Order: sequence, then C-alpha cells, then structure tokens
Amino acid sequence: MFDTLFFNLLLNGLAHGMLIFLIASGLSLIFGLMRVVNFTHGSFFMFGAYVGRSIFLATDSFVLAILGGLLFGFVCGALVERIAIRPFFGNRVQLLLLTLGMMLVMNELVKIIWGPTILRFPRPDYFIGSFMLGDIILPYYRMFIVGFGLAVLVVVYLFLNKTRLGIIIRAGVEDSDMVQSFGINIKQVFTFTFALGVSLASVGGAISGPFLGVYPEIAMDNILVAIIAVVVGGIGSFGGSVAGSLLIGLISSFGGFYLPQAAMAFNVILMALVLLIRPQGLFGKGGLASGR
Amino acid sequence: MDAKKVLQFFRANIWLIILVGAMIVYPFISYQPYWLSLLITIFVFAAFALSYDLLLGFTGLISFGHALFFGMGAYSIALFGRFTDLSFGSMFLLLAVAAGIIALIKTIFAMRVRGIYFAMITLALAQFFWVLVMSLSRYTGGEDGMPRVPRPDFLGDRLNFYFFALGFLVLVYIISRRFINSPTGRVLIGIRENEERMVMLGYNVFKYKLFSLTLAGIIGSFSGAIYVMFINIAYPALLDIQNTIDVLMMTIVGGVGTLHGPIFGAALVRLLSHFLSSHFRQWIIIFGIIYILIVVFLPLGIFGGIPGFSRWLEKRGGWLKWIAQRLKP
Repeated sequence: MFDTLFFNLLLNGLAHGMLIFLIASGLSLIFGLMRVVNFTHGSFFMFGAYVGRSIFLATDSFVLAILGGLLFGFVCGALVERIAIRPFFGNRVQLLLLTLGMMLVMNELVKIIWGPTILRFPRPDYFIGSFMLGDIILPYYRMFIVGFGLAVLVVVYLFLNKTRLGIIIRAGVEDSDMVQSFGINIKQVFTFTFALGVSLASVGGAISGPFLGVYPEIAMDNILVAIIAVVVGGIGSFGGSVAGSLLIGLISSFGGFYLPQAAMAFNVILMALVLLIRPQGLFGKGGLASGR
Repeated sequence: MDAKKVLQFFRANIWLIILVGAMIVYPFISYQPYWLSLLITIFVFAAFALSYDLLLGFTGLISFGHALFFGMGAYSIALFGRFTDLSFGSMFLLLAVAAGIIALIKTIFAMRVRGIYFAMITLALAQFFWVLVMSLSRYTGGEDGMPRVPRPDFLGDRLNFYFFALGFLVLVYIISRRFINSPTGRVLIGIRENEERMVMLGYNVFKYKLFSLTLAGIIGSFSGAIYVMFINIAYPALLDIQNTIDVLMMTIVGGVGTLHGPIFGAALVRLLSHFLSSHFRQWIIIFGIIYILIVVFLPLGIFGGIPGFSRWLEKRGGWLKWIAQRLKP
C-alpha cells in the first residue's frame, strides 16, 4: 500500500491540488465578495504560464518569472475589474456572459501570440532531479510546487485574518453593503480583491508551466476543475477552497492512475453529491446556494 | 374559419409566413447543395437554441449543460442504429422518454440549488456523460465518434432533408409559441420573475419546472438526433461545454426571452462562423469580440433591441413607419 507508487501519486495529487488552489482561492474570494463568476480566471492562469515562460527564457531567472507572473496578473486583474466588471456591477447574468466572452477572446488571443501548440517550459537547473527517501523518488519540482502553494496559503491566510484590509474583505463577503455603510470604499476593495485573485491564478500558471507544459487548453481544463473545487469547498470560504482543491487534486491523481477515463467523473460525482447533501459546500455558510 | 380570421392570422404572422415561404421557394430558385447543407444546420441549431431559450429566457434557469440533450439525441440514434433494429418512430419515442428522465434529474437539482449552482450542476452532468461516452469507447468509438448513423430512406435526398429540417423548426417554433402563451407558459414566466411569489400563490413550481425542462430536453435531443442523421457521425464534441457555449451565444446574440431571437441568432452565428473561419484561422476571437459588444451594448440581444429600433423607425414616417408597425410583437 504505502509504496513508492503511493507516495508519487500523493505528491502528484498535492502538487496538482495546490495549483487548483491557486486558481480556486481567487475565484472563491471574488465570487464571495462580488458575486461574480469570473470565467477569465482560467485564462489568466494560462497567460501566467505563457508570460512566465517568456520571462524565464529571456532572463534565465525563475524568480523573475514568478514575480513577472504575479505582477502581470495583478495589473491585468485591476484593469479588467475597472474596465469590464465595474460598469456592469449588480447585473449578475450580464457579468457572467461577459466574462464568458472575455474567456473566449483571451483563449484565442494566446494562440495568435504564441501559437496553438504545446510549448516546453524548461525547469530551472536547481529543480532538476529527485529527492530520494529510501527507495521513494520525489521529484524536486513537485515538492517545490507543494511548498510554494503552502507558502501562498499561509500568506493569504495571515493576510485575510491579521490585516485590516483582509478583515474588510472577509466582512465584505458577509455583507458588502454593511461594509460600505461603515464608510469604507468597498469599490476599491473589490478592485484589489479581483487583482489579488487574478494574480494568484497567474502566478499559479507560471509555476505550473514546467510541471504541466504550456498550451492553450490549460485555461478551459483548469477553470472547470477550479469551479468544481470551489463549489465542493463552499463558495466564499478560504478554508473551503483549500480543502476542495486538495480533495480534487488527490482524486484526480489517484483516480487518474487507477481508472484514467473516470477521473473527471469522480470529481463530477463528488460535486453532485456535495450539492445534493450540502448545497452550500463543505465549508460554506448556508443561504448562498438557494438564494442566488 | 371565416375570411376575417384568416386575414387576421396572416397579418399577425406576416414575417413568419414571408420567411417560411422564402425558405420553401429557395431551393427551387437556386439548388446549391452547399447552401442547402448550411441552411439545414442552421435550422437544426435554431431549434436547439429555441429549446435553450425556453429555459434561459422563459423559465430563468441558467443551464451550462444543454449540450447534454443534443449529444444524447445524437448518440441515441447512432447507438440504436448500430445495436438494435428499432423503427425510427420508436427510436424517437425512447429518446423522448430518456430526455424526460434527464429533465427529471435536472429538476430535482433545480429545486435544491439555484443560479450559478444550477449552472454548475448541469455542466457537471453534461461532463459526466461526455466522460461516459469517452470511456465506453468499445460501443461509442470514443474520440473517433460513431460513423454511419442510420437515417430513413426518404431523408437520403438532400432536398427532402432540407424540408424535413425546415418543417421540424417550424413545428418547434409553433409548439414553443403555443406553450409560452398558454397558462402554463405564463406561470413559467412568473417563476422566472419571482419564484417565491409563485410558491406563495400555490403553484407547484416543481411540476412547472419539470414541464419546461422536459419540453426543452425533448426539443434539444430531437435536434441532436436530426443533426447527427444529417452529418452522419456522432462525436463527443456534440456533448461538450463548447457546444453549450455556442447555443448560449446564439440565444444571447439573437435575443434572450424572445422566440424568434434564438432562430436568427443561430443563423447569424452559423453564418459568421462559416465565413470567418474560411478567412481567418483565429476567427473565434472576432466572434468573441462581436459577442462581447452585444452583451455590453445590446443586453437583450439583436431582437430584444427591436422595440427601441422600431420606435426610432416610426419617427421617420413613410414606408419606414409601415415596417416599424410590423416589427412590433
């Protein structure tokens, strides 16, 4: 049972789960705060991968690639929120259709800029090779993804719980009108949260490159999986997005190995079960699912 | 029926009659197989988009898995044809029953979750069937699809198929219109506007949602079945999210909540994709931009924007006023 294969699948699932978490956490925060389903999130993940790769190939510095992905996501996220989301605020269906359209345009745009084929994102030299634990082989790069994801998780958790802005965001998830009436400019908080969420997805893309490869379909594949993770974990709940993502990552990894064709079906069945038994998600608060 | 009523009918449906008449006469004026094929796919997708609008525009259910019905129709005909020797009538009857069962499952979900949650559940259901088709490749051919779909002999002729598809679309349009204008349809619009109020008024919302989903499911799966009879192969992409996005766009572009909107939306989307794709490799980006512009500037779609347009025309006077009066619903 606990052989090399098991630990490999475990590490693989955790690494995948962390990448999903980087998309899902932003998606969940944005929906919780602004009630916007941001379909462009997967596209920013994809753009992050392309931008990160370009920076890495140009500068040969992986740190710069990560920072570039982060900055790119933050700037683009803020721009998209100001230009495309804010004018339509309050009209949920229109926003849903709008982000869907932007997703299509972005997914095509990437093919025009970088071409439709899979591009190789070489691993930085110091992540080549594997860590040997007895006869268990653990690739460095996957361990790095898990570590990076954990670091982001801790930072975002501390940000949401210990800083003033983070507490405002969490209060906004509960009731944004109330926050506004306390004299806080909730619109600026919206822009910041959107930019933050998008930059998390984008940096996730940048670090996913050497692991998954860089190609246009990662946008669509990952947005679907991330939405499932968010729904399973509970929309608007940070802890929920962590749990949902890791669960989905592990299920994909183990399910994908033992029953490759059915891996997606497992996720879907899990989501259907959660929605039937606990519509608000594992960690979500009641009311959202039936009210909206 | 006296002459006055007939006249009244003609007046009320003048655009419908002109259009259907033009479509009937068209193949006799210029018989071009290429254009006939294009029109057949437009008719089929128009019926599919119409069924989607019954949910989105008239019941207020955002479904991201409507392609499930389309793909189910497609694969049912292909599978029935390969493994059974049922008559076409019983194939379609079984298909209607299957669509009803799926609609029942969706309704159970629709009663528990709403809005984006319902969208996700329907998306998940469609993906589930997509996975099913991919993994049962021994029967369904997996990614390669199922070629050699059976079709009745009289549909072997393209002209016959053209009239069959046109007849199907007209029938779907008339049924949908009767349905929407019936008391049941009015209740559905009430559910779209305010579900709690309809519950308070004593309507059995479950029953009405089930009815709407079943009708949409049957129309959707029949259009899938007819489409696959025409193109002669069932393939997994008919079931996937892209197909749902396509039909969503047809509905939005044409005008959600109107019955003729989705039909013209389907025509526009098919024609645009046809011509753009032969000129640009990345035509979807142009299409996406057009779609975004419509969502932003014409949120009710091209035909939902007609009332404003006809008011504008009416002010011009003369023959423009005549058109404006006939554009009014």
